[in-house]
Amino acid sequence: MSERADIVIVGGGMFGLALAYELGRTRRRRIVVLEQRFSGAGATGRNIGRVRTSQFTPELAVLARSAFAKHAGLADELGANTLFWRPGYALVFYDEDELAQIDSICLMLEGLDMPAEFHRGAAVVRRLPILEGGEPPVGCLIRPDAVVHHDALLYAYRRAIRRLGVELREQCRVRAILTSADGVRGVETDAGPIEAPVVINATGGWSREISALAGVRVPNVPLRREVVVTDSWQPLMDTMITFYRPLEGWFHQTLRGEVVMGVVHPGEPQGLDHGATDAHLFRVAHHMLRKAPRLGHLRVVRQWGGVYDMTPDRKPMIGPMNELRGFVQANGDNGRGIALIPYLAELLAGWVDTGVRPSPLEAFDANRYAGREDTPVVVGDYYAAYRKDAEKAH
Amino acid sequence: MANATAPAKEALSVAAAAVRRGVWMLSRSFRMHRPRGAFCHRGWCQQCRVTLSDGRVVLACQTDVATSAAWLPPGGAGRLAGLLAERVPPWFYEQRFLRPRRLRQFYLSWLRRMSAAPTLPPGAPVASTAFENARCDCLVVGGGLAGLVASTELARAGRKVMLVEAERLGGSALSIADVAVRVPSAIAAARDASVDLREGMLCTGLYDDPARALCVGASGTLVIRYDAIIVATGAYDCLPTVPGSDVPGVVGVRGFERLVAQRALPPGATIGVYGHRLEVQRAINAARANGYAVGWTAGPAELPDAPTRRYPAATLVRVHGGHRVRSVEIAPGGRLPCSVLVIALSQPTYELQAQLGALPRLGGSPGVMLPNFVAGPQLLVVGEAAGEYDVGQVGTAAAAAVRRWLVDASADPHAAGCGIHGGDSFSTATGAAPPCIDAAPAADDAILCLCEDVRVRDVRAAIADGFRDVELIKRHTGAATGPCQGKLCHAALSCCLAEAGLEVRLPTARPFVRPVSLASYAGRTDE
Repeated sequence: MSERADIVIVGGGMFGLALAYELGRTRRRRIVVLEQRFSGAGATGRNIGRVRTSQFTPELAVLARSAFAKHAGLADELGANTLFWRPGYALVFYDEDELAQIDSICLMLEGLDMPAEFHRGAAVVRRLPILEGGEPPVGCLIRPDAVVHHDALLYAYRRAIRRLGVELREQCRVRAILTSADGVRGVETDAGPIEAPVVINATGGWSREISALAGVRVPNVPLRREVVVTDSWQPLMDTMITFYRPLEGWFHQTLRGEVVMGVVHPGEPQGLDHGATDAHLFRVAHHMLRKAPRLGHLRVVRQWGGVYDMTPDRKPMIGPMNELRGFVQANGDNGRGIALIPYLAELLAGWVDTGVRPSPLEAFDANRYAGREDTPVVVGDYYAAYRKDAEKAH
Repeated sequence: MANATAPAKEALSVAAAAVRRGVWMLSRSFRMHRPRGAFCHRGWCQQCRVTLSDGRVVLACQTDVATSAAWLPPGGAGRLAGLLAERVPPWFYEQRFLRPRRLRQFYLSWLRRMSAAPTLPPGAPVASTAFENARCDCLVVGGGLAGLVASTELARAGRKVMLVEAERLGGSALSIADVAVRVPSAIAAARDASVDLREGMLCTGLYDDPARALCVGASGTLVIRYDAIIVATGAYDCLPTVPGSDVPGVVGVRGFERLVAQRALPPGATIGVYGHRLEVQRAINAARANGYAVGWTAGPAELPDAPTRRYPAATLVRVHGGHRVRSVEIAPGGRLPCSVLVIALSQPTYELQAQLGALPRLGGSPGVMLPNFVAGPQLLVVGEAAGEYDVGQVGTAAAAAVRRWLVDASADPHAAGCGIHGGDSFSTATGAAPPCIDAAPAADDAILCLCEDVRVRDVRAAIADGFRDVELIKRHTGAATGPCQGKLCHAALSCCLAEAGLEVRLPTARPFVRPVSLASYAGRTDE
């Protein structure tokens, strides 16, 4: 006789564990989380933990605000410190043409009761002294955003699901998703089959592959992002920084004192690649020294790559699939995984239990690409694409 | 004439100059603010970072005392925070700093100032502007005797060969008196054979598609595309996991060789040597050649005949001392007087091989990572990195390995210079077992990861708590994530995995082999 579960979650990253927690706490049932390597091996362990609310569209900003509130209360909810810390988040601009755009984003955020600081000219460097001596910025927009430690958060979930009796099975690969005319029947793993009426795909960069195992086609594609990390130093900056010109880049100092940084290549090929490149290192060194020359003293210790699970509209893919009963998507992070997942998991757990789609998830319904699964994901200039969305929205 | 060919005496480093004045403590550890000093004296252990009076933060063992500003001894202000940190595991924050809620942000802002990390120097550093792309048939990493001989052999066979050496050509051989005399002729032979020799170039990482090596030095960044690679990066001194192993004054045998070559030991120092017979002999030779005498020798097995007090079949139990070593406890044998403890144990370097996918495994006796070159073509490992520990034989053995390699390559026309040697037959030319440690189970309170101050009991607790994968243990405890990137703790970490019956493997090997300033990589701007 094969093993049975009420819910099988494929993917032991942040989304899988958060879902297991949310599903486990509402009702007593048998939940199994399957992870092919170790918990957090994918994007969860490879990201930098920013919880950003200064989004470019009202829809995402509202969602991000709720997600932020969820994060702020998570330590109390899970009974463990997730190192939720609010150093603030600055978008720094170097191009005069961008100022009008920033003005409108500022207004949009204010309209949502999410006021942002807006500085121009020399005031930017006074507010963000790490930029001293670098290329002069024209403006910056700062929100009191937060950063969490991805591992602290993951391990808090890990402990919470253990208390709830959820089984997390690591080093266990899903080979097939078992289906019948009625819908999902379970999964076939390396260690045998598990029967379950609900199978949730929370595999981030692997979401397309796992969907394919169930015969479900999705437009998701993985896209690599790389990170370079330095050794630890005494606090040298507070506010996290992102810039977009001439390339999108970002850096901030962690609580441990390391500085994490990255600069995006607009031509990055799509695909599941976790490798790190020397080209990224050179790009980072070149651009960081231009923006914040003092960072040149930091010693580079390690580099790695992780993947975003991208969708054509850069919105998450959430919810039960109409074409296969019991098969539920929980992926499509588009680089906002850590920020959104605790909140998305709470909403999705409600959806799975009640069968009613919560209104904040309307725009993220995984069925929105039904019949258009081949829609390509065009990344190019990530930021410019958002600007177009924002213009449409206004 | 002899003087003309003898290599120049090693310049005195900031670390060695301090030792000469009897100062072993150079820095304080990251979390616990424990006194630390140089262990390796060769730039990889990262325990001797000092702040100079001009604000720069440097490795004391890699900085020439004659040309640098004075260094500022670390203050003791953080020691109170350190004493608190000693009582809690690295994940101490998990259930703490939550109440009262409104103070959480304050706690975190305060906590991040509590480490012993250095302060960012003022102003911008001098950014590197030089960038060079190079192409060769075969890249030799490591310019010690093995690397020099191997590159010469290959170049004579018609290959276009480049050799990069992180420090000075000759490498560790330079500090061994009777071997150092062979270095000038080995360099001359390599030059004659048109090997492109690059001194002061550290290979920090390997990348594929196409296979290339990232090298960095004072003169800029160099990316070398290669068809085949020879790793001749020598061996690391191995730090046993015993309480007090982090006390300043505990030095590796290769570090000791350099210290005595710089005549840096203070007069009247009591030198104790603990380790494997071959390596203990090395320490005795080094001391003798430079006019020092070894006080006692000890080791888990037999010891070389030498006019010292000898404690064979003894295990290192504990090192006593604060800012410097006071005494050393062995069993049987008891407490021995000591002011410099030389650890005569080593393990082959393995990072570059691991980056190529050849994963090292835990050695026959616990405590040492042995290379296991079963993956990837186009790789040859020679010298100490391949387990050739007999310094007298290292050159001839490397030449023989290269000749075999070339024969194999010509037998297979599709494999341009391919071949894998070393394999499972890891042993010295004399057939002796590699000089590794026969360790008793590590003591709970011994520090396993010096960079992040992780104790053996922390790793054991993490495993007991369900973190049963080396990647999870690494992330949860912080072990192997510090600036030395696991060189001091990979073996001990593996021992902890082995004793718990878990799969023994290393965390994913990624660039960089050593930390280098971001400014050094800023030379390439063409993208």
